[in-house]
Amino acid sequence: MRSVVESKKLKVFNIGTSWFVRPIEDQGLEVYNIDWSPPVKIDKDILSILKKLGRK
Amino acid sequence: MEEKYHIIEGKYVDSVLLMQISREIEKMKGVSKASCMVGTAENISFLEMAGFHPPSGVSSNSVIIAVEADSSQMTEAAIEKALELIDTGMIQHKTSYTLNDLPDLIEEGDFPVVFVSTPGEYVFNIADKALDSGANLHIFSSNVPLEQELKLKRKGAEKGLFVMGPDCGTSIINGKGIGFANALTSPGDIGIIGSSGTGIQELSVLLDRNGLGVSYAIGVGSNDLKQYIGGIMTKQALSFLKERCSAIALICKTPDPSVEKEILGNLGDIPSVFISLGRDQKYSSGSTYVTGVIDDGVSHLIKQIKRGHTAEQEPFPSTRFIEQERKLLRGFFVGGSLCYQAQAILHGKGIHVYSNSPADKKYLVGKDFENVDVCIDTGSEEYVSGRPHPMIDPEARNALVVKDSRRSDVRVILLDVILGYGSAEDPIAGLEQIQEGPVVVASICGTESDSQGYASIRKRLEGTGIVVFRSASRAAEYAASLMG
Repeated sequence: MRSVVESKKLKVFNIGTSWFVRPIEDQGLEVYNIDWSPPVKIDKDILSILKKLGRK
Repeated sequence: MEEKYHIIEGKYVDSVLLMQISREIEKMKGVSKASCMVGTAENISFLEMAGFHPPSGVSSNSVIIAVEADSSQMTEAAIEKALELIDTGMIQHKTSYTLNDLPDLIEEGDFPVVFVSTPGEYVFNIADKALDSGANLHIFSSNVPLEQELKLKRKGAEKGLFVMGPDCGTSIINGKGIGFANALTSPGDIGIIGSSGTGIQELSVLLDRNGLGVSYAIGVGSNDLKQYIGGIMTKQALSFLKERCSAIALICKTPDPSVEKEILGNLGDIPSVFISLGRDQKYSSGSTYVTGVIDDGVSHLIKQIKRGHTAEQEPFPSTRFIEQERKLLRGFFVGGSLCYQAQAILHGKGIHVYSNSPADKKYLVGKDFENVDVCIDTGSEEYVSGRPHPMIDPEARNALVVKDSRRSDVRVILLDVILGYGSAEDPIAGLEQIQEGPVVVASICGTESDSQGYASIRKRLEGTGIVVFRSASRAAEYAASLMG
């Protein structure tokens, strides 16, 4: 039988839905929430105008 | 009664949060029903089925809040509360961090795992940065382009880090479950590698029930054994587990033959089973047993490890009379792999079921499947667009079961119930409305230590006349026996 001992500390970082956070915490693990939101999508026409204005 | 709708245009809110907010709002005084959803066509139909009258022109880029309450003040208050929760989220985190903080948060002696569940189009940049910070990845998200998956897995392998997924539902690290996983109790050191989330759950639960504890399950995602990815993470998981486990179980669907050959070669002399769901041959090669059915793989490992022991096979109950005009089999699954396995078992018994996720491509069916035998994966893309996965919100799947129980031409209804971390608090809500007539057969993947409680779920299902099995393959075999 090989060793089952793991000396490393499992640390979870959550990005996205918070649904799975509590079940992980319930097992005694540390969970860190990483803020995330989708990048703002800029319309191609607006982007080209901004580029022309040199304000990209 | 007053009905009110509020549309938020162009805002991303994850569908699980919207489901949680709906439930929170429904608890408010005077509110009879509430629903917050992404405005997909399917969700608008769902609102209409629930008795709402949503305005026209709602797009899938918007969120719709629908409330029915005793007065207009109450609908206003409910919508205000929903908007507040959309802004703040359901869990108030003590501290929140950004990806840039990751390197500082990872300390010497940590085994860091970044769990990613954003929409697939955003995964690459997040995952790439996480790997640069020295973190392993559990990518729950699907719809990540294959070339991005390959880049991430190559980078992970170079750094000695795991890239579990994309499309990875389950992992177990040193006995702790991440994503959808069960509360396992048997001590032990079996390692699992799987490209199938519910397959890993079913396998781990059946091993655990037979006293073989699972210490690790490395989910590699559904594409890892394709030729294009070449099993990069399966190979890495194998090296990792061979150092830590006394036996290894691999579970997958349709692996590329050349990748499979390489993986089988890498297993060496460690006791192992290779379960390729749906495969009809069984054979042993050295210390490895190859099969297509989860139960068979479990039985083999038990015989190999616990010499003199055999897995108990659940007996079929005595069959009751079923009317001649009842001819159809209807399977509605929340677990894609269990759906796939059921199809393979049924095909093997000469029952050719159609599916939206077919084990045999010639039996592919769209949404028009009223008059054929089917096994439907209700977790596939067309059913979950803008909605949480049915393991989180089983309402729509359970409604399909109830609806078909009312038909006079349905002979057997087959379903799976998945318990454990991440699964719905009440995965069988609504099933008490099942009508007498067809034989309803369910399998439960779960343990007594799961928060939903195996025994209480089983008792409730049996109380509504459902025939219950511990294993999904046994349930499918029983369903097949009723079709004769």
